[in-house]
Amino acid sequence: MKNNNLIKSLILITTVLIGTVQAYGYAEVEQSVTTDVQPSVAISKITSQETGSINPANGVNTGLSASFKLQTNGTDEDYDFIVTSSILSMDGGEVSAYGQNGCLLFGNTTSLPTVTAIENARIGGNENRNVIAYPLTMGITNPMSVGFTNSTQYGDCWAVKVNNGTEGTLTQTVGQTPVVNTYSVGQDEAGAYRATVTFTAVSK
Amino acid sequence: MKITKLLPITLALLLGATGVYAAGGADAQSQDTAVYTLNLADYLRIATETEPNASDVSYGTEYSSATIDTAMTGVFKVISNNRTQDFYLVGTCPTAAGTTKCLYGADGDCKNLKMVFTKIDVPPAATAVTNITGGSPTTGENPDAIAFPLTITPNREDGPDESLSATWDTDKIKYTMNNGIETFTCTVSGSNEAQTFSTHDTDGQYQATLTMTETAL
Repeated sequence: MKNNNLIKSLILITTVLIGTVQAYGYAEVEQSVTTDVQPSVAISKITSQETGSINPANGVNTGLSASFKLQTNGTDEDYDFIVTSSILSMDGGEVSAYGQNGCLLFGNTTSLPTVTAIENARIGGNENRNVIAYPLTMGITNPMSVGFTNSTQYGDCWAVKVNNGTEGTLTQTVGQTPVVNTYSVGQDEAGAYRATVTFTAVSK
Repeated sequence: MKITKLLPITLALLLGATGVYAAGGADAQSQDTAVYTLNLADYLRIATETEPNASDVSYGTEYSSATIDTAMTGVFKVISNNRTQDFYLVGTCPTAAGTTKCLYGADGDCKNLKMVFTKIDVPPAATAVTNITGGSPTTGENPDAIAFPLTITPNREDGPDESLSATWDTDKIKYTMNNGIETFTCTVSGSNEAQTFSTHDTDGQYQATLTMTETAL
């Protein structure tokens, strides 16, 4: 009887094991998960030197710069990546602060320049009271690229192409020597001079 | 699930965690800004652009007058970027006291006035000068001191507009101008002012100094 019981038990265990294996085999099914990933983007300033001074004897400044981090899973077909600028005028509100070759125009914040003076500085003239222009250089990590352009949609701007990259750093540096004809100790009053630069990703 | 599907999802989650995440959509975007500010310090430079020359003096009949042979001209240049800048023109001549202020008799816009010259080697008493600058000179009271006409011609070389003002300030000229570049041509010429030249004035070199300065000396 004892032997019979043992045999029955073994048979039972074997059956259960076999049954389990069979049950698992029946539960296996083909699954398909579909996720719609939207393009996304993040721009943030990571380092900057946004204040400095100008030597009144020659207009040379102490140096300004800013770096922006760009992260995106989008493409150049999803976004326009642009760097725009603004300067405050006396008679026209905020206008673009870009001049020839993408140089950056600074305006006196107390004695605001006229739009005429800003436009004159934009083309490198010498009638630009209270406006001082400095060269602006842009650099960006590979595979991204950047260049100055005049866009029908955004006007003068620096345009960034991500070229299928997902992360990069845009570094802008304001040159220290003023653009020729834009600094004059007799025309440019003492005080604070300002320009604003904004890096934006615009969904298309 | 393929690994190529996992990567964009992971990136999307990371971006969402930064707090500046902008999901795709018609108006979605992300941006950041740098506001650059440069301070242009005050600037003032006063320089002598042309040094004045010296001149001999010719005497009138019986030593009755003194006339400068060659007009003496000096030019100052003032450069300022201050919205409003004050500065002064001061005249001094050597006296026993050291130096004494020697400008007087300015007209309304301070372009025509008079300047006293004094003998260098043995300077007269300061009273010899003040006798003249007081406006009622007598030859016996101003030995070795002679006054001549002085004309000042300002010229705007650069700047937004002509904004120079000149006022008489006790014993000097006070100028106020907006930012810009201005030159001042100062010329001494002609004959002595009445009651400032006589035989009380001994032979020798006479001198007067003009100083353009930021501070009221």
